[in-house]
This record gives sequence, structure tokens and C-alpha cells, in this order.
Amino acid sequence: MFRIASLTGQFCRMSLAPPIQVHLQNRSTSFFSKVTAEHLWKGVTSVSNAGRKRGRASGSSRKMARDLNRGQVLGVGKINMVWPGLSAPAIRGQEIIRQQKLEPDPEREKRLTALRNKHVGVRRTKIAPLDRGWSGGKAGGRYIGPPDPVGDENFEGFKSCVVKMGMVFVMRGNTGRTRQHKSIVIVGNGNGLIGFAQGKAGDARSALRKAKNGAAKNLVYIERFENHTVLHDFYTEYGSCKLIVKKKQRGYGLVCQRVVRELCKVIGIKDIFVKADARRMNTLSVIRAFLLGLHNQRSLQSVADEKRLHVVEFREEYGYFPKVVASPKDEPVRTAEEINPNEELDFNMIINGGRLVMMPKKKTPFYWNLPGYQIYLKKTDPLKNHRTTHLRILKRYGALKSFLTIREEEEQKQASLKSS
Amino acid sequence: MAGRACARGLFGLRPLHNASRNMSTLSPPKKLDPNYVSTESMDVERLFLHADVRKILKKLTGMDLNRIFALRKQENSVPSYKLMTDEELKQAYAKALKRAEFTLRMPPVMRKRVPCEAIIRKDPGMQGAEKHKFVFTDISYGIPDRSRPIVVREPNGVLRNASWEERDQMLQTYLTRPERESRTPPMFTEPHLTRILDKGWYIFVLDRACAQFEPDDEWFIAVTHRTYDHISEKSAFDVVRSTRHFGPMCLYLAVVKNGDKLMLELLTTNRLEDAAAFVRLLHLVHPESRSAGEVDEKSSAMDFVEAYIKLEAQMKAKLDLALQSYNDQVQAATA
Repeated sequence: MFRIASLTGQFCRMSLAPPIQVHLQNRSTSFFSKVTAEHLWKGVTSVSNAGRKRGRASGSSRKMARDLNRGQVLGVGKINMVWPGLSAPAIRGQEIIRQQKLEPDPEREKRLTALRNKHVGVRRTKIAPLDRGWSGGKAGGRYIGPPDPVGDENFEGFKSCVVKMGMVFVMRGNTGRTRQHKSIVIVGNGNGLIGFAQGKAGDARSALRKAKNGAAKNLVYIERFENHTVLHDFYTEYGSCKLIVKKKQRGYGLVCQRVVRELCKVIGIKDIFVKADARRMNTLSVIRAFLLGLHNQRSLQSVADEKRLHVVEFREEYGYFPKVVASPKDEPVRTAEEINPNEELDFNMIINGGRLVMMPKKKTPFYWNLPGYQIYLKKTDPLKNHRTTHLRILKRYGALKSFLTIREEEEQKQASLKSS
Repeated sequence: MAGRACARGLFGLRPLHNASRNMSTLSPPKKLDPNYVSTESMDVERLFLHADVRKILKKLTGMDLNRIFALRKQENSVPSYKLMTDEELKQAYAKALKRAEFTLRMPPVMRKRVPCEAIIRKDPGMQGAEKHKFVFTDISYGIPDRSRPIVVREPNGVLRNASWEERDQMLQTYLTRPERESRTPPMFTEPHLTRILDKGWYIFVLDRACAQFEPDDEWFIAVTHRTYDHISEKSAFDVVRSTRHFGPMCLYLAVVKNGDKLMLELLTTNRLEDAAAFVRLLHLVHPESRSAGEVDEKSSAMDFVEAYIKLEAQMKAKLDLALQSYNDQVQAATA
């Protein structure tokens, strides 16, 4: 009551009432006097045995105790007092020091809070949004720098990407359930070289290091078309993973499954379309299927040699001018009479071994066939060029006008001139 | 017939000064050469169709396949491959050559068109019935645009043929060409045109003029001639070589007798035969010129060039020097 009165001042002075007498029970012993401070702290900050088994005492879910007594000194408090023998010596020279109230120190509270909030232990490093990988806090899709140097080789220009990171467990009779971190890392120089490896270790960092350095030891070279796409369309499979790979023009980009995309990035493929038919997506199978397909690509020269004919390239941007890209090396070119009329001469058929993949039909939204959507289309059809027309009119007249409104304005102006 | 009669468009137009060239402030970027307006001194249309002239223009244009089939500014595509025998490859090259010839067809050289508003009928009874003109356009299929019937009923009751500008507007309204804009693009007017030409975008300007205008439109003639002048001034003939615009440009330079820069460029790039061909063209265009009397059919290329330098050229010293250095090179090569 007093507190309220003092805060509100004279306006509440009338409400001051005599204090109510309450009887308080007094005990000589209590919970606080029986148990030591150490025990009390432990009870608050420790984890129970059951909790420890469930993993509450380790990892990111562990709760760290914060020492609220940090920075506190006996004899120093909110009121800045000199206590001889406690916070100050009792005698200084010949003089006996007396209790004394000093000027209040406003900075003390701030210093204490800063000290208390100062972080102790390991802090998570923040990763830039573009370097965070495929999703959330997972390691998949993250780039972890070049492999460690081997002898004179420094792996300059190489980059490695984590494509799989997880934990594996093993149950043994004598050791019980033990766990390990397992990672798959791909390494490449963005200019045709590619390697991949798995790494297993007790901690995640070692697993990544093992996989990365292992991948750097197993590099293969992949041929590319004009350093930007695959040599030709192909179909490839490994295990349950089936990939339909399409060669694409410059500027198309990487339109493919995420593991394949990272593979393309480290190989240096810039434009590709891949349709992945994998009901159970196994990372290793995807990597193996794609690399196998790339490895089995045929060169144009081999086709020319096999068929003993010129391979001629036609490109729209060059006006379909015929360009001979490969001619039979050792043997002469066949004439029309030497070619069997039933012989397969379609380039794509030859390069795919007489088998062409039929692409699955693109699905259309279900509502395209509903009558409501047709009505919507009919209604919005006259509005489809509104924006361009709007802009054109704005550019021409400086405002939303047409020749009709301008004619009316002119007529009105002339009429007003006549009347005046 | 009933279908044709029914398929008629009805469209009210603004008064003529707005309907015609869209923006009354715009004017073509150049005054036309009189030979491109009337037949008084020569007939450029007939000259252009003359077999010898066309032969010379083709020769001057040249055919550099690397240029004709150079990388185009368009979306990239995935290359396609074919397996071919020697014979088939030869045929493919022949086909490409034909396509190259097709791309090098020259846009027609024509005189400025004469007004075509002939009065068909006068109906004074209809005077004042309407405030605005009515334009009737026959939009039935199968009629060439230039002979498509388009007539105008004036508010004073006169029924007349539509003017060229009205025709252009109605044709673009009903039979739209996507590459043509309904209003003259500002890039064909000064100061934009000079700015673009200074950048050297000659082919862009000439191609767009072909798409935008009819070949006998005053604007087409003015824009192309302005561009040819600029090319000649900068001696940037190499930019338009092996394109469809080189022939009409040479003819223009011959008509206006402004071929010194071209001759200099031809001689410095060791094209003596081409230089002689240009002099022949000049003689076909101006048979009365002094140098035409100096040479005949049997004269050599050198004689033609020398006659030009002696009697026609304004830049005699420079041309003489170029011819001299050409001769020196030939001698050094034969020695």
C-alpha cells in the first residue's frame, strides 16, 4: 500500500489505511537450511538418468546452466557503500575507515547484465542463405571447399559438395548399439573432372573429410558438348534409378533432380534436362546412373566411322547451314548404292542403340477441363492485352486517353471559345 | 459474291491531318533526290529492273557464306545431326546456296508514289449527314494489298479512293503485319536516326525500314538514302556487303554521282573488278557522262577505273594513290 501511495503521490493520500496484522508461522528448520547450495544447483541444472538416456544431456537439446552470480562480489551491492573490513580495508595508514555511503554507480547494473549474458561454450556459426544447401540445417547440397592437398597437388579450382549426410547404427553383442556419421561427397573442377566417395566416422566433420579426400582420389574426365551440355540425349539406369537425359541449348539451365544438379555443377555442365524416374531415390544409385550414362556417351567420330558417312550438323541460329563435324577416318565414305534401304540412319536412333525413350506426357492441372475454367478464360480473354495497351496509350498521350476523348476535349474547347 | 460483299469493314476515322502520318510533327529525315520523285532525267525503276544493272549489283554485293550464315541474334537451339553421303552433302550445300541467294534478293528500288485519291462520285444530298468520314475496306481474301478496294465517304458527300496513308492505316488495322507498327517508329526520325547510324547499326535500320514501309513510300526512300549517305560518309561499306541492301545502295550512289568513297574502299580492299563494275553501272545510269565516251566493251577493268578517276572523281589524289598501291601490290605478287 505504501508503495502505491508513494508512486501516485498526493492523489492517493486519502486511500492510506492502517496495515493489516498477519500472523506468520516461524519454523526453525527448512528445506533451504537442510540442503547445501551445491545440491540445490544440481537439482536445478542437471538431467535425470531417464532424460540422459533419451539424449537430453547432449547435443543441441542440452540446456546449459547459467551462473547468475557471475560478477557479484561480497560486500558490493546496489547501494554503493564502504564496508570497512569487508569491501574495504579497516585501517588505511593511521586512519580508521568508517562506514560510508558513496554516490550511486549507474553503470554497475549494465556491467553485470552484460557479463551474465556473455556467451559461454560453443556457438553455432551462421551460414549465408545461399550456402545453406538444399534445405534447413541439413548438410545436403552444401559446398565444403576443395579437398586437402596431396603432395604437390593443391586441388585449385576444385569444389566439393555434400550430397548425403546421415547417421548409421550397428548393433553388436559386445559393444551394443554404436553409431557413426556417414557422408557422400562429390568433387569436381567445373571443367570435366568428377569424383565421388563415401566416408564414415564417429563425428560428422571427419566423415565429410574422409569422403571429400576419397572423392579427390577417384577423379574421371567427362566429355561435354562445347563445354556446356552433354554430347547427346541418352537413357541410363543403375539399380532402381532411371534417368532420361536431354541435351539442351545454351541458356536453358539445369532442369533436373537435385543430386544430378550438383553433379552437373561440379562437372561443368550448364544446360541439361533430366527426367528422373526413381520411385525410391537412392543417392548412390542416382550418382552412379548419371556418371555411367555420361561415361557411355558416344563421340560423333565413332558414329561416322561405324556408318562410314559424314555426320553433318544443322543449327537454327546459323541458318541451318550444313557443317561437317565428323567424317570416316580410315575408310572412304559410302555411296548411296552401298547403303541398304532398310538400314537405320536416324542419328538419335543410332546413338541410343536403336531405342528411343518416349517422354512422359506433361500433366495439365485438373481444372483445365472444368466448365468454370472455360468460363473464366472467356471472361478474361478481352483483358489479356490490357497492360500493353495501357502502356502504349500512356506513352502516346501522357495519360489514359484515346483519340475519342481528345476529340471531345477539342470540341468542348472550341464550344467554350465560341460562347465567350 | 454475297460473302465478299458482306465481308466489309466499317470504320470511322479522325480528320485527315491526324489520320495520315499519325503525328503531324514527323517528317522524313531527308529530302528526296529528284530522280527518285520523277522520271524527268532518268527512270530509276526501269534502271533497277535492267538485266545488266542487276548483274552488276549482284556482283558488287558478293556472296560471303560466312556472313550470310553468321550467328544470328535469336534464341539458341539444340543442334540436329544427319548422316550423309558425299552426294547428299553436295545437295545440302547447293540448297544452302539457294537459300543464300534468296536472302540476298534486293528490296525494290522505286520512285515516290503519286497521290491516288480519285473522286468516284459526288452526292451533295449526303452533305452534312455525318460529322466524320467513313472508310470502307474490302477485307476479302485473295486480293493483293496494293489493289485492294478502299474508299472514303467524306462528310460533304464525296466518295473517293483512299489516300496511300489511309490505305496503309486500314491495311494495318484489318490485315495486320506483326513486323509493322501502325505508327511510324520514332527511330526513323531525327535525332534518333543519326544516333543509331553513328553506332553503325546500318543493317538494323535498313531491315526495319523494309519491314515498316512500302518500297515507294517517301519515308522508305528518305530513310534508306539517309543511311546510304551515312555509310558512304564513314566508308563503312563492309558492314552491308553480302546483304540485300548493298545493291540498292550502289545504285543510289551511282544515281547521285557520289561514288568516290566506294571506289576508294574497293581499290584499297583490292577489288579492282568490282571497282570497274561500279564504273560500268555509272555509265549505264548516266550514259551522257564524260568517262562513258572514254571506254567501250573491250576496255579492261583498269581502263574503266582510270577513266573514272580522270573524268569523274572529286577525290582524284586519293584514288590515284589507292590505284598506285594496288598496282604495286600486284607487281610485288607477280615478281
